[in-house]
Amino acid sequence: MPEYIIETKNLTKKYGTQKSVASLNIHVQKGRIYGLLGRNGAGKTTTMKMLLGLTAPTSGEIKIWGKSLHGNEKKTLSRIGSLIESPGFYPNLTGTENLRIFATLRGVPNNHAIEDALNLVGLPYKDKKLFSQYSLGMKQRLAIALAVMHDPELLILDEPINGLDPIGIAEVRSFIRQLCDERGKTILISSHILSEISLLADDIGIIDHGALLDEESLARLEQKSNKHIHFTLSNTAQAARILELQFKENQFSILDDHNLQVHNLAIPVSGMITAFVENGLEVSEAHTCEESLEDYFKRITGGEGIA
Amino acid sequence: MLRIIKTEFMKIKRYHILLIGLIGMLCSPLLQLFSQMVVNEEYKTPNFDFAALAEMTVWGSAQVFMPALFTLIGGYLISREYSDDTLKNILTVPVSFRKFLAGKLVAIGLLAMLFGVYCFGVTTAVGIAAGLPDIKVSVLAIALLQMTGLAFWVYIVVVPIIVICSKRPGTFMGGSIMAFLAGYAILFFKQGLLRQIYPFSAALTMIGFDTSSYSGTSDKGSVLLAAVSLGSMLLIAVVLVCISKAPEDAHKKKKAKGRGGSSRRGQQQR
Ligand SMILES: Nc1ncnc2c1ncn2[C@@H]1O[C@H](COP(=O)(O)OP(=O)(O)OP(=O)(O)O)[C@@H](O)[C@H]1O
Ligand SMILES: [Mg+2]
Repeated sequence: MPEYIIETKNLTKKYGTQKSVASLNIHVQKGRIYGLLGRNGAGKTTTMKMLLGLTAPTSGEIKIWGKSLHGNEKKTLSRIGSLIESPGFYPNLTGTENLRIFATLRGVPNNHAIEDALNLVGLPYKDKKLFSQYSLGMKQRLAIALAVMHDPELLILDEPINGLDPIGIAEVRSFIRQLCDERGKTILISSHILSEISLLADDIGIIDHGALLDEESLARLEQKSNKHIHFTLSNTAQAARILELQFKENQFSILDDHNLQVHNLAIPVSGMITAFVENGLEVSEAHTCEESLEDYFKRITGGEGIA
Repeated sequence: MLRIIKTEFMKIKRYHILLIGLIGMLCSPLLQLFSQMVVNEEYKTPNFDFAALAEMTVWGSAQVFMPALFTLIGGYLISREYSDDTLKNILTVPVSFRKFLAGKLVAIGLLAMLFGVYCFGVTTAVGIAAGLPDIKVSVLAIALLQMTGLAFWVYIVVVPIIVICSKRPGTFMGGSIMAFLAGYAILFFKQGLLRQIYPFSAALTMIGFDTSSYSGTSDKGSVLLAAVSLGSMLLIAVVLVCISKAPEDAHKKKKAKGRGGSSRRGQQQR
């Protein structure tokens, strides 16, 4: 039984009559990166806000470190670092001054914490530039610095790579990976970009219209996505008969007179080709098709796809 | 709590609203000086010395400047937490909304008293610049005590307005106007119980200010009734803070989502 850092039970949030999050059950394991993947409006931010006590669930339960969040906010939240939606800072202050405010509020004992956090995200320490003069990417970096400054055990990051350039994205990705691998942090991260999540996450939860469609490790998901062998040959009806009689195989589908897909990858392709040819069929093409993760998501989200 | 108050003072660096406060407060003694200079000879205060200027400034500050400025600055400082979207970072520290609000109000109160001291400073400066006679230590001491004390009591009176406005970000302008009107209304309460317990009158009573020549009050203010009045204002403020909750999703952003209801099953593939 894996140790869950975050566990929700039937977590639901209604705004008016609309369910933004519907009976969500997610499980974030210790020391792993969990990617919450969903399109705009899927309910990622709403879920994270509930996990951080920023908005109250309509119903359902949240457990963090095995304890119900409700009633344990003070102890729980101080061990979490978070970034929700757009960075929120005081525009009249510099980045360092902003961080100092939150370090004071948190009572961060380490004097170097601010400098270290800024270094980590590649922002200068004690710079004169005011937050209002920051570029979007700099703002986002400062928000990440705030999230990691007090060395929390759990990070909840809502679209952390928003607004970053490709180099910035790679940097952030690698230090999130490091935080997890080297310092054993547990990280919940959301994104609407599939490729990002698949590069970073160990486990993936797919959320669509507030509901969790699938929750799986990345490795399992890759297995789960559909694979098949595609044949183009002269007569599919006859080929089907050969498969049934000779290979005792019925996991295949006939697309039309000339195209057929075999879903059982255990049968050697060469064996099937030989059998078809020996029975007088003309095989013009045979190849293994692998559904990409993207196709898989498209399929399970009902064709809408992700990102 | 101390931490919260400390951070509040860290936040106000480079805030332009403070400049408005400083200029506004400066207007208080200037206005009194100018009105002395422009009115006809017969209405002029006889032997207009520094003590007279200080007294008139106290009156003007109680009636107009302090109520309006304190609500404006207080409301602004609170509403910025919403508009800058910083509240989420504070709440997740975690600092409860109640504690945060309480800390903020204490900090604004301290700031208000600093404005009182500042008011004394500019009044003295104006007095010296205008060459008013009789700038004595005893007069200065009274002016300093009265102005700082007044700032404190006026702030107590307007705290409920600030708290009420804090529930709806962006309403602090309205609150400021309300505070201004309420302050101005001192003029209407000349006698009876209302003259005693009208909070702004009570604030003046507490600092031992004689209002008879300003609003034409016939009876002297009772310190006891004034204390009851101001105590109730404080109580109201405390209750309001205690029942306050973080306005959930205060800045409702109705984001345009790329998900029309029809598209969901619309383009089913394969
Ligand atoms: N304060 C609110 N009031 C009403 N509806 C809301 C509110 N906040 C969110 N919603 C609705 O809840 C749904 C989920 O929103 P949410 O912000 O959680 O989506 P998201 O997955 O974070 O999307 P994005 O990728 O755009 O950030 C949306 O339909 C949104 O309109
Ligand atoms: Mg979001």
